[in-house]
Amino acid sequence: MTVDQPVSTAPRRRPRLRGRVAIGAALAGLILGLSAGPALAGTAYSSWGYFSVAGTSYRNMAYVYADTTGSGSAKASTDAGPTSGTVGSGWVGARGRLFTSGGSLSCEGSNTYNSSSLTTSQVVTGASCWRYSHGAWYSYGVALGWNGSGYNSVYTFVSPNQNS
Amino acid sequence: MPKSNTRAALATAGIVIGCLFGGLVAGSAIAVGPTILAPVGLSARGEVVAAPMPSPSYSANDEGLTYGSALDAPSPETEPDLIQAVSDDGTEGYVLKTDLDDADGTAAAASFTSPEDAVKWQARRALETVTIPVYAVDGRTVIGKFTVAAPPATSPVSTVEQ
Repeated sequence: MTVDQPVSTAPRRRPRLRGRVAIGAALAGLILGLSAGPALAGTAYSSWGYFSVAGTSYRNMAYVYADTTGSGSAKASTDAGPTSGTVGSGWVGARGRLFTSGGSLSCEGSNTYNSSSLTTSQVVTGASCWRYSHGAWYSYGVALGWNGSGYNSVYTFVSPNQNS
Repeated sequence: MPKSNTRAALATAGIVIGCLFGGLVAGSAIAVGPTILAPVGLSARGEVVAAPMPSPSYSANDEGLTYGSALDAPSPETEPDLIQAVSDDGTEGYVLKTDLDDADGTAAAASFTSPEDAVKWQARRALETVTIPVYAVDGRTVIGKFTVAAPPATSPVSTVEQ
């Protein structure tokens, strides 16, 4: 009896042990994954926005790149381009704007125009700007389209926030 | 399979799944939500539903200058006179919209008579950063400076999906 007991109980204990190992390892992994915090570096993109200027259709998008390493850094950029046909040099402009979670403008780029023709599959990236600190950031960019006698400025959608 | 190998495989699988789940939770930034707020003149396509941004309501200082966040403005025309900003050294304050428009090329764009003017302006301004004052809410007391990044000498163009 006493000799058989360990043999008879072993098959029931092995699955429990394996389950505990797996659960424990999964929890350890979860903690490891979360303790890494938000990914060291990541980019958050707004949805594409669509607008029309003098019969030409365009799209724009704002995005924010943020890096948690060191003292932290964040960059705001804006893309813009036509959605139909081809536009000539200088027809599309864009600039990046970076905002804090409190709504303060943290940095801004200057208007940047396409220096060569753009097709429907191409976008120009406006001047980006950087801020070197930790925080939660939004990108809310500006795009410009030539209307025949000047430029119409249209904002992008606001990007999701990204932490640095 | 030997017991030690089974445990090692389970542990590895557990760690991988845990890290993947934890990493996804912590590291993703995805635009979610049924409705997003659209600036003036902008629309969405596909599954994204956009509603117009509300008109901003700004306070005014003793000089009658409106002040607030440009994040609330749905268009350049609706930005406040004093835009809430962080100076280069991290001090909270305000920049004058007129200063900012001069620095980022908005004022210059208003004078262009052709797209070629814009390209020429960019070539002149390339790599030239401009700084403007950061004020207290009174719009007169300077408390710092704000740097506006220069446009690149050559415009970066990339190919994106339709």
